[in-house]
Amino acid sequence: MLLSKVSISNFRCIRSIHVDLEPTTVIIGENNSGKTSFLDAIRLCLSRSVMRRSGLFSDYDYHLPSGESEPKQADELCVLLQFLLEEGDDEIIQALEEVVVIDESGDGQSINFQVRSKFDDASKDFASEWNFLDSNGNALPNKPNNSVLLGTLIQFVPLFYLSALRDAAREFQSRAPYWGPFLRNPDLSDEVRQRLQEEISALNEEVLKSHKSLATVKDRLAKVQQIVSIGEAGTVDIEALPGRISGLLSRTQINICSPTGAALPLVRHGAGTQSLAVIFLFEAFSATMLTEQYDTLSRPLLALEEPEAHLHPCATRSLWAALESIEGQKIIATHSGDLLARVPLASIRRFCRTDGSVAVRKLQPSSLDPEELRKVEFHIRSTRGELLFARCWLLGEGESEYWVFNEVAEILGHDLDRLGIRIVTYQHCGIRPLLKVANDLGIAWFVTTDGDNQGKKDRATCEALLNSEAADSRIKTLSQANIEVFLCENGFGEFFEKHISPQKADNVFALRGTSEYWAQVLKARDDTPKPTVLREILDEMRRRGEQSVPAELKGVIDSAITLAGANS
Amino acid sequence: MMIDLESLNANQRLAVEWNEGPLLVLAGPGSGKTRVLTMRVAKLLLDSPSKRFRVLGLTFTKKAADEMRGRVEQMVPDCRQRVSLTTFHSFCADVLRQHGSHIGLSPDFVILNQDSDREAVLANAAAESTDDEAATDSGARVLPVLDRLLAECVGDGQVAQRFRDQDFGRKIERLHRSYLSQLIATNRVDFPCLLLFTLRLLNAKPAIAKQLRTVYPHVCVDEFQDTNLAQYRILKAIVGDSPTNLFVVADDDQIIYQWNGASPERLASLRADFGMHTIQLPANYRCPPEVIALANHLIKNNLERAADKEPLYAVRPSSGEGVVRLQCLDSLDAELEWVAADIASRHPSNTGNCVILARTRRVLERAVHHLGQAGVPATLSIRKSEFVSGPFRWLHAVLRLANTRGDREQLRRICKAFFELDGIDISVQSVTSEAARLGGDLLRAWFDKAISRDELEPESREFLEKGKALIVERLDFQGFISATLAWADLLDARLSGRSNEGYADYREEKESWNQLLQGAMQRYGRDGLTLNALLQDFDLSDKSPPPPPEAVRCLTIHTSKGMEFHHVYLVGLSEDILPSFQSIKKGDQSRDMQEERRNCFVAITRTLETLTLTYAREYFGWPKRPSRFLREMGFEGL
Repeated sequence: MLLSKVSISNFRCIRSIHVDLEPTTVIIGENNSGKTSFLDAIRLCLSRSVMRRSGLFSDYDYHLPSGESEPKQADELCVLLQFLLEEGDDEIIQALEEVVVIDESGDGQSINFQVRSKFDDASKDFASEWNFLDSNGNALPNKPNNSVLLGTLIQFVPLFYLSALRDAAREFQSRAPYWGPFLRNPDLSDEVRQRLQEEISALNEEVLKSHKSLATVKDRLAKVQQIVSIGEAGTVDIEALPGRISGLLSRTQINICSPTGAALPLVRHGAGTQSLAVIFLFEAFSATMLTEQYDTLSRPLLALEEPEAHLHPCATRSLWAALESIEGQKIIATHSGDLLARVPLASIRRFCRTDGSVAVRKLQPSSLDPEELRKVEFHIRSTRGELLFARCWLLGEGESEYWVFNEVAEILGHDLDRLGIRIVTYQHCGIRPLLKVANDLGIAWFVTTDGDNQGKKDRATCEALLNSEAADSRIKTLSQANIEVFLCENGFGEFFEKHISPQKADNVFALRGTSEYWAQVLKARDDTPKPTVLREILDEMRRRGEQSVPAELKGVIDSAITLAGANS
Repeated sequence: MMIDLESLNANQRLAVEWNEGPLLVLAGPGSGKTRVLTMRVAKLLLDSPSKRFRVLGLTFTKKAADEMRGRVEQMVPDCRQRVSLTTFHSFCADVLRQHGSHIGLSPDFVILNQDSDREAVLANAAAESTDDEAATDSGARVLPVLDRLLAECVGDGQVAQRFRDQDFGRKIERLHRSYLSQLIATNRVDFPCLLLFTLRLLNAKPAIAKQLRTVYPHVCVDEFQDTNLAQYRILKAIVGDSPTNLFVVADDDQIIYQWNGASPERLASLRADFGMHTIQLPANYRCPPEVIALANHLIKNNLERAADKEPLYAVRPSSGEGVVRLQCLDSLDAELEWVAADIASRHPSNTGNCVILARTRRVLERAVHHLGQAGVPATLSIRKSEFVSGPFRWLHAVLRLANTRGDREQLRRICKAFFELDGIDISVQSVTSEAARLGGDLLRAWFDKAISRDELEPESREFLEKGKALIVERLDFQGFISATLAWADLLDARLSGRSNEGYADYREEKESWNQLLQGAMQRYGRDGLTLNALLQDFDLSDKSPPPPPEAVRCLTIHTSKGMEFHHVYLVGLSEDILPSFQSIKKGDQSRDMQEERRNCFVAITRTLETLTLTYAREYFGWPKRPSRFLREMGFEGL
């Protein structure tokens, strides 16, 4: 059984979202984009308290559209969880028959569970109501065994929430939820238990015997019974080791070898190791203790925040395979581009704020053909996963544009990182797949194309992918054939002139200052790489100051900033 | 808990432990078939304690389902989640609520259980089909034709060809189509369509039947001989082509519902379609050997029986003289007078153990009269599909409206019943416009309107205010029912002596109301009972009051099915009465005649102690000869 779809309306900052989930789903988004609210809504609706009529949500869980709004007037909060039944779920279907419905298509079977809540004038309190729905979204009749069914459903998909703060010292306490069960009721046969108990007391005795000073303590303490009655003689006992297996187990501690080979207790290791240890402790719990504590059919639903916390990028990348192997369904919230490097694009859900409310976007299956998908997987996801976190992509053809935009923005006093703008080159990937990905994931984009024939073709490609926006607000075609000619035309030609190769100087014959001339200059360039020349130009531009930035370039940066601002 | 297999006879035990494919248990009357069925269900559950599949048991009456559930729960406590013992109709209603979205129904559809409601739909359908001629046909005349088509699952497009009069056929076809689409469009379903729509749904979405097969690998059917075509097709759809765990109990000698679509061929199809193994249960634990002898003599005259059907044999020993009596009188009245006198001569504590059985109601109405004359209490039960007294019509409609907040028909009933009860006229129109202000909540609007009326009696005002809080705000229907009954009792007491149309039958109906409510609580548990479950239960139930224990029951043979009585009086054993005039007209070997013979067979096998057979020389002014069935049973010199 897979939690395949979650729809939430009027919960905290969320007005209305629909999120499709995979066996493993990775959610990304800026801080305060609603990721935690999303996970909290699921957690609340799969908790036992969902059966209560009141008190499931707190006042501030109701969506308040403005500062003056009162929770009492808030629109109805509604969470819909859709579970898809899968191959092999026959026993679950048997247990939950009454609420399993057939999809519109007639093939799939699902359970649709809805929780609604709003202020109830009659009882002067917030009241919640839950229902199972039919395939059209109408509430199924409230059957006598409905609460039994809900209880069973919750039992089948226990939700575990590993928040970003994973403290090994706490999670490995003897009463902690995942560690504790391992220490209680050890599966020892009576015979083994008996033998161990004897060996422990023998050990104890030996320790005490060789550790003479303890005997003195024991003798002195025995005097207690001369004053108060405390039982038989020999009541005072000193245990160097806990005498009972359970006592012994409750002190179990985990040591991990440090790089030097010395065994170190887990809590003495670095934060990254501790955080990982907690994740794998959960895995061990879910693999061995879960069905015992819940039901043989239970499969966990794990909500995991920032599994990459405190980890080196290489470790983060290898983490993915480990997370995938954890039993059950996973929803992982991450801020790590390195983790995304391993995540299939189709599993990514991007939370973004548009027009003040939260929207959740994903790559539509039909958007990219296999060839385009391969390109995007290579150029973006696996090498520059962090791009998917951007608010706006500023696209330019190649390396030249990359350096120019970066420097120009800095000269203009803008911090592109802070603004959520990332510069993306499309020379290798092709422009179409990039824009499709950006469109699907809700990333704003601004494209600059060359002014030559290829540039015009690129522009046409972009225009076809506009939704309803004006082309000029999204695309800039340079007034010159390319960025280098453009810079020459705008007063920086001398830097390329300095790099004319003596052997090729004869090829430069056009009238100085014409576009043709600059094209010849660029062609006659010596061995100096183009970016090196560009760096010289940009250094000069920086020296000359803001006003030396050509208006066209300034326009490009300003446009990107506007788009990013609208997308925050 | 263990089940006591030792208490079964060899064949019963074979059936309970059967594990080798689909099984047909041919069980004669009084053969302990319900015991076999319930023990089998219990055994399936006990043998699979860690499993989650469920067992489906389909019956024809709620009474049978309740009785089986009670017995299974005794043997296997806490089995509620793993067994569904239910009637075909109630099973279908559940399937339609859960999956009806695929054919345009919402889960809160209303079940039409009154012919007057169905006639209204028909009238709308006629108007819709833009057929002036059809519109002029009264619903009451067309309804039986429609019922026949529905029971036989006649598909759209095959209706017209079933009529010799082509014009009439086409007219009915349009009406049939329009009637069905009207029901769907207004989210209502009548009894025949509970079956028909379920069948359509199962055909349209095979995944539903697949799901049912996953959940219910074991399907048991009681009284299979009563299935009509729609029910049989539903069963086939549920169990699939090669069921291994289909368990069917039937008796081809007790098919008496041919008029309702049952047929001897159904049993033949069952055997052919599924290659059923057969176990027979000829041992009879109910009747004295003398009665069994009569029954065997009689029924062997039927030719369309299972070829290998074994004769019944009596397990009980003979109790001596006077077990079977035959009495001939001059006229129907003389016959019934004699019966009344005979019953009156019994010890009063015995009258409740007596039953008078007759082929038709007409004879029974006379019997009640004669018993009354003789000072013997008697009851003639009539199936009642709705409550008729004011308080219960009002209460029922309020509950229905609380369950389906936009149902204007219920609002109309509430207004009408309240006017009859309290004399205060609240118009439907005024309530709907008030509701428009309240976001469409008709129920709240009605209470607001009613409470605002100055002429309300103080008790009524107090009740309405309390009732509103209970049902509108807290949806506490159990509390609301208690409050309503207390209020109605108060009004009833105030009216005592004076006649009030609205209160006729109130006390009697209170008894049946409470009985139905209690039944539902037992079925679902007091805390588990939901308004929706209660209303569906009510919709599918007979609302006639329970018979007083001391009264002589007067039953048609059809209603006596599945029951047993100490002293059975079967009256009207004359040609044209039993067998009926129509069956004689059809011919000696006709299917109708065979069904009449089965009627007689069912009637006499209700007997626990004594059987009294009577006939008269004259009925309704016509001289009649003694029934051929008497001769067939072995009576000589008539």
